[in-house]
Amino acid sequence: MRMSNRENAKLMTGNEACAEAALFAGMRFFAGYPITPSTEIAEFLARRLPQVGGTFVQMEDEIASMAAIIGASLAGVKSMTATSGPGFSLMQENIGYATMTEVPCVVVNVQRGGPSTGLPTLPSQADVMQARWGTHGDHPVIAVAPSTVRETYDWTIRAFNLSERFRTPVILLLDEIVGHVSEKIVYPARGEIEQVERERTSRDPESYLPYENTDSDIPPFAEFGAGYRYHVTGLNHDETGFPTNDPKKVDILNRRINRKIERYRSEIIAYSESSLEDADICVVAYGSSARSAHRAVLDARRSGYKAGIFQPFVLWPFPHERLSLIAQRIKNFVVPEMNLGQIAHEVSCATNRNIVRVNRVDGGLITPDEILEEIKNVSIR
Amino acid sequence: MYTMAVKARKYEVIINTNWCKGCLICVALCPKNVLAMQKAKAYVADPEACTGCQLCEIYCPDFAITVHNVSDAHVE
Amino acid sequence: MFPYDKYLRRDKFPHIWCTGCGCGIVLKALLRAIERSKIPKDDVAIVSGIGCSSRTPGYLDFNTLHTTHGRAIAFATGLKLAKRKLKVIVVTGDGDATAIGGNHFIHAARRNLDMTVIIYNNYIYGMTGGQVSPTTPAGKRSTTSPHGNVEPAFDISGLAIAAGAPFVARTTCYHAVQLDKYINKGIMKKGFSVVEVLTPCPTYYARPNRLGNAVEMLEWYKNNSIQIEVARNTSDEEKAGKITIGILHDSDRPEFCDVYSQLSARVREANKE
Repeated sequence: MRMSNRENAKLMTGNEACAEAALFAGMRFFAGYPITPSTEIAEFLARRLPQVGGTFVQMEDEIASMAAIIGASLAGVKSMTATSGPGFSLMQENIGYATMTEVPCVVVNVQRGGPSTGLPTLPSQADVMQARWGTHGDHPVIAVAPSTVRETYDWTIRAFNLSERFRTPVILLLDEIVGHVSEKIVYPARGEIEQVERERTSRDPESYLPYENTDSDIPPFAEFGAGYRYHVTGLNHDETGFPTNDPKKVDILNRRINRKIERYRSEIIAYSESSLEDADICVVAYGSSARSAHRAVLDARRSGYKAGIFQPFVLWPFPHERLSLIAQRIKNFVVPEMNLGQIAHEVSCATNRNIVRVNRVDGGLITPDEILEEIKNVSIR
Repeated sequence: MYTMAVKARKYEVIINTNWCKGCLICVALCPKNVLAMQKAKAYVADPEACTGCQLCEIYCPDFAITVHNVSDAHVE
Repeated sequence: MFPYDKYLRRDKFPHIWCTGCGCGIVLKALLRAIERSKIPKDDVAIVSGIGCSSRTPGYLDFNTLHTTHGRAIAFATGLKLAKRKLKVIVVTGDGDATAIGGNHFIHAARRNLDMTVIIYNNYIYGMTGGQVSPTTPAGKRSTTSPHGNVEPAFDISGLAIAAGAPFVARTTCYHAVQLDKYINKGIMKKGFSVVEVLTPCPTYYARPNRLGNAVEMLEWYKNNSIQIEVARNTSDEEKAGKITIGILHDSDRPEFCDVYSQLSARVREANKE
């Protein structure tokens, strides 16, 4: 850990880090609606955006917030909204619209206890599957889950980079703990994290195809008001952007927008591993559960149990390949989650191994001891 | 010397029968009964009567009728 | 002859609207209004939701955005705030704007964001096959009010005025020339402008209610509307059942983009000290 100098470090919460990182990434339009535990993101940006020539607007509901950030992004401005479970549910239709029309934007979901109004001030990780399948239809998604304030800072920037690179909404999954915990964060050095801009078209307006089937599967972008005068619709459309029911064209679009993320899995997927080389138990943990899991693995090692940890930062697309590789050697997986086993399900698909679920759905953070307990139990068997 | 001006037709009404859906609005609104229906489409029954008032063009929901000054019409 | 072709994506024609549907009449008035405004095509964005009228953008050679049902105004809010030079025009229907989209409609009016909202009020949900809408008159039939509509209707213009829209005009497809003047006025006005247009739906409103074809509906509008200037000094009995048309409200109020720019300038100034 590099020695931090005074001005390069700061004490802040995850929500604040998320907001500040968004500004660093070039976000200049935020539309949101108050909802615990994400409201601080809106409050921070309401103060900061006018200072940097950006625009903040509190919309009348989350549906409008999601609509507004798509509109702003179409005008060429990096845009973001932030919410929690109930608002995230309201945003689903327009998240699907942004996916279908390939408009880059970032949607932050600071998860709280669910379902329904649930536990507004307490954490959960139970929206993970909603982040994957919340909106209707076959669609791709990129969802990332940091576990510390510094990771939130880095992953907010990467969320914008991924959304710009792939012209897609990216879901940033925090939870009440990551959002509200205060930690010292050392800012990344200048250039340590690159800043990606969506690829703009080099064609002239007459030949521009807004949804061109390029080799990369990612159509170059042209912003509204720049002389391209093209059409955007949520209806299934062809390369020209106009609606079509022609089965061949419909099939091409549906497969392209999914392939557009699937084929770049290796570039998108990101995770960290520690003490897995000689481990016979692998703890798979993400978000705030990973904080406890790191400590549990440390304690396990001290007590002579060979445990290691696999922490995915990108939840969707899920790192199946890496986990199935790990499962060739490691037979036991412990998956702590503040839900009833949503990622555990993916781990079991990837590994075909014995999965021990450590689930809490009582609004409390899973403690290291609860994880350690399972590590011990699984070692005895 | 006074010569009788031959009443030259000043306007030409053109109908795009592919776009016309036969809604009868132009026929009903034309103050000079220039238009009528033929095989469920509008057609120019009495071109001479047209005074170029453009009501048919303004009200046609199908963009199927255009009124041209004769000079433009030939030029096109 | 008006140069409609200058604005049309001709390869998309003939359009999908039914025989005698008023959408084409409103669309023509919109193009005449835009022509008169002399705003370059590159700077015009037409945003729509879902419904018959919301297919309008696809036919027009502007920056066109066909969004989700009821949300056009919310999308337009982001578009406008992110690129102020865009002249944003929303085309929407009575259901799209005041049923599912009602919340966005009243809030954008309250904020007074600079955009022109044209509401094609045909008293019915046309695209989905003729269901009752928030403006279907009491007693009228539709596929979801087969025994007659028992709900009272919205007064869309009244709703817009009450929500704070500084410019609200109402007219009908019969008054097509007046319509393009109102749309132009709305476009030139800085602020949230609403133009409500009573639009004939021969297929799904007139037929089930035996109101005749498009011509008879236009006739009905002519005989059942009253200009606001006349209405002001007409007894209630005389104007009972008549729809008041004209410029119903025309005031001035700080526009949201301006207000926000002033705020940003003030904040950056204070930041310098």
